[in-house]
Amino acid sequence: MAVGNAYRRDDGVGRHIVNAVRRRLGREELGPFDDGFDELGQALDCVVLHQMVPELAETVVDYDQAVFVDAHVPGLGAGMREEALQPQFEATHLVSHQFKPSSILALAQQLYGRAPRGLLLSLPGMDFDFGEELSPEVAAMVPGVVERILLWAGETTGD
Amino acid sequence: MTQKITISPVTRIEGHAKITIHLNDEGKVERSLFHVTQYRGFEKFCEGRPFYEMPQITQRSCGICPVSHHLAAAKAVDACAGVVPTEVAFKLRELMHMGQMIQSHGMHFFELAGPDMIMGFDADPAIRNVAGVVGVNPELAVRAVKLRAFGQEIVRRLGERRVHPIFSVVGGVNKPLAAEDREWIAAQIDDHIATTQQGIALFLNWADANQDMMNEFAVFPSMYMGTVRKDGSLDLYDGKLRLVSEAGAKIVEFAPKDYLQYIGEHVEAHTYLKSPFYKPMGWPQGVYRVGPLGRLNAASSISTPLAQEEMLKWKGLNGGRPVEGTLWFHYARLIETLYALERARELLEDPLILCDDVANDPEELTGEGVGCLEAPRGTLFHHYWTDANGLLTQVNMIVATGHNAWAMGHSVDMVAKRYVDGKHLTEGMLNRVEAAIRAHDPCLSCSTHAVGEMPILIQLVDADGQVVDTLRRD
Repeated sequence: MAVGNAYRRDDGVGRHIVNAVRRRLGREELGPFDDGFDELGQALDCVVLHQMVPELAETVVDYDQAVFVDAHVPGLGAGMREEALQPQFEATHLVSHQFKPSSILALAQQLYGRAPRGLLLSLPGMDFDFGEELSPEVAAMVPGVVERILLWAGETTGD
Repeated sequence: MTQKITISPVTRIEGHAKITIHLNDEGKVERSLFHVTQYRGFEKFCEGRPFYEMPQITQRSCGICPVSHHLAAAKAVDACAGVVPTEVAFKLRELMHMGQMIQSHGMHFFELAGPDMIMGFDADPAIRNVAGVVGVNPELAVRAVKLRAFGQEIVRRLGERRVHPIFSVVGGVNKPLAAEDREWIAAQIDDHIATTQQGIALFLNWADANQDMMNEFAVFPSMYMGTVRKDGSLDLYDGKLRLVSEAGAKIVEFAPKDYLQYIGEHVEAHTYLKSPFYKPMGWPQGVYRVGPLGRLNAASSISTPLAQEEMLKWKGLNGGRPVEGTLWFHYARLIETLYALERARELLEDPLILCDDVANDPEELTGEGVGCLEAPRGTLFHHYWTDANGLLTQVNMIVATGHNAWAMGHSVDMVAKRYVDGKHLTEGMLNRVEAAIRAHDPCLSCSTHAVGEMPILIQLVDADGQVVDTLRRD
C-alpha cells in the first residue's frame, strides 16, 4: 500500500515502488489514474493511495501481510527505514483525515477480529516540491525497497 | 514579562498550522492567533494549462474533498466553453457530490470529532481517539466506517475511483449510471440513515449533558452564508448564495457568477490563509461563517423529510435566531449527512437518472467561467479566465476553509481566554483549543503526509524569545 501525493515529488515515491514491484512480477505498471483496487485478489496485490482512510481496515483484513510504503521527513534518517507494525491506535493524527498504518491494522483487529502482519518501509524525502519526478537520491533507493518487499512477501506467500 | 504558548502544528486537521497563545505578565491569555504556515500556489501553477484539464488538476489539491474541486471546476469549465450540461449530467454530478458529503461528514463526526465527545475533552489522549469509540460502542464504530465507505463507493461507482474520480467532462459526464449501481446504492441508504440518526442522538445527548460547555465554547454572533434554492431551502450543489445577518435576516442573495461584487479577500500577516468578507461592509465588519453551521443558519428549511425534522429543532435552538455556538457545527454536519442520504435517494428515484444523455457539445469559448458549490466545509469558488486558445491566463479559487478563517481565529481566541491558564498546561485544556479549530473541519493543505511529519509541539516562550517550557506530543 503506497501512500503519498504523486504530484509532490518524493512524497509520491510509493507509486514508483509499486510500479517497480509490478514490473518484477511481470505485470503492467499502474497508469497515472489507476490505484490498483480493481485488481485486488491476487497473491500479492499493490495499491496506491493519496492518504490512508479508515475503511482500509476492510481491505487489509483479507490479507496475511501488509506492507505500507511512504516517504519520511529527513529528520528521521538518511536511508530506508523499516518498522514492524503492531496493530495499535496512535494518538496523534489517529482520527485525522489521514490515518496511520498501525491504526489501520488496529481498526481491522478491533472491528473484524484479525489484522495482517504489518511492515512500514519509508524513504527519506529530499524534495517535496511540485512535480512527479523523484529526487536522484530517492530514485536510487527504490530498487532496495523493492527487494525488501518481495523478500518479506515471499516469507509467507512463497512467491 | 510577556509569555507565549505555541501549539504547532494542530493535530487532526490537514496540512500545516500552528496556534500561538500570547500571555500577559500575569500568565493570562492576551491574544491568540491561528496560523496556516504552508503556501500552496495552486492558482498560479494552473496558468497556461488548457481549461478543460481543471477538473482533473484541481482535485489533486485535496485527498479528502477532491470531488468538491472536481465538480466546482467542472461548472467553471462548462461556463468557459459556453455549454450547459444535460439535465442527466447535472443530476449525476449532484449524486456524486452527495457521496462526497456523506464520506467527509461521516468521517469527521464519528472518527475526528466524536472521540472528544464520547471520551471527554480531558480523557487520556491514548484513548481519546477512534479506539475509544470502538471500546464504548463497537457496533456504532463499525457502522461509522461503513458510512464513510458508502460515500466513497458512490463516488467510485460514478467516477471509477474513490479518490480523484474521472467523471466530469466539458458539458456533462463521461458515462451514464448503470442500473445495477443505482440498485446497489439505493439499497444501502436506509442503513446509513439509521447510523446518522444514531450519531445525532449521541451528539444531542452529549450536548444535553454538557450544556455549560455548549453555551460558553466559542459562542459568538456573526453573519452566515450558504447556497439556497429559490424557496430558500438548503442546497449543497447548486443555487444562489444567501448571506444573513447576526439576527438571521436576509442581507443579500446573489448568483455565484457575480461573487466578485460581493466577496473580498483580506490578507493577514501571520497566516497564508486569506480571509474572505462581504465586500459592501468591508473588513472586518463583513466577516461571516460558512460550512454546516453557516448553511443551516442561512437556509430557511430543508427539502427532505428527515433532515427537515432536525432542521426544525435546529431553528429552535436559539429562539429562531441563528445558532452561534461553534460546537453546534457537529449537529449541523449530521443534519447535512441526513440530507445528503435522502437527496441521493431522490436522485436515484428520478426517472432520468439512468438516461444516457450525459453530455452536451461545447459551444464557443467565452473567455471566463465561475463554478461554485457547497463543499463539506463551506462555499467553494473556482473562477477561470482563458485566452482565445482556451489556455488559462488567470485562476481564482476561494476555498471553503478560507471563508471560516476569521471564525477559526476568533474561536481559538475565545476558547484560549476561557480555558488556558499559562501557569498550568494540561492536555484537556490544549485539546479544547484545538477542538475550536476542529469543529470547523478545516482542510488546509493535505499536500504531503510523510512519515514523521506534524508532531505537536507546545512551547512556552518569554518576552525575550526564550523557551521556558515545552510539551511535545508525537
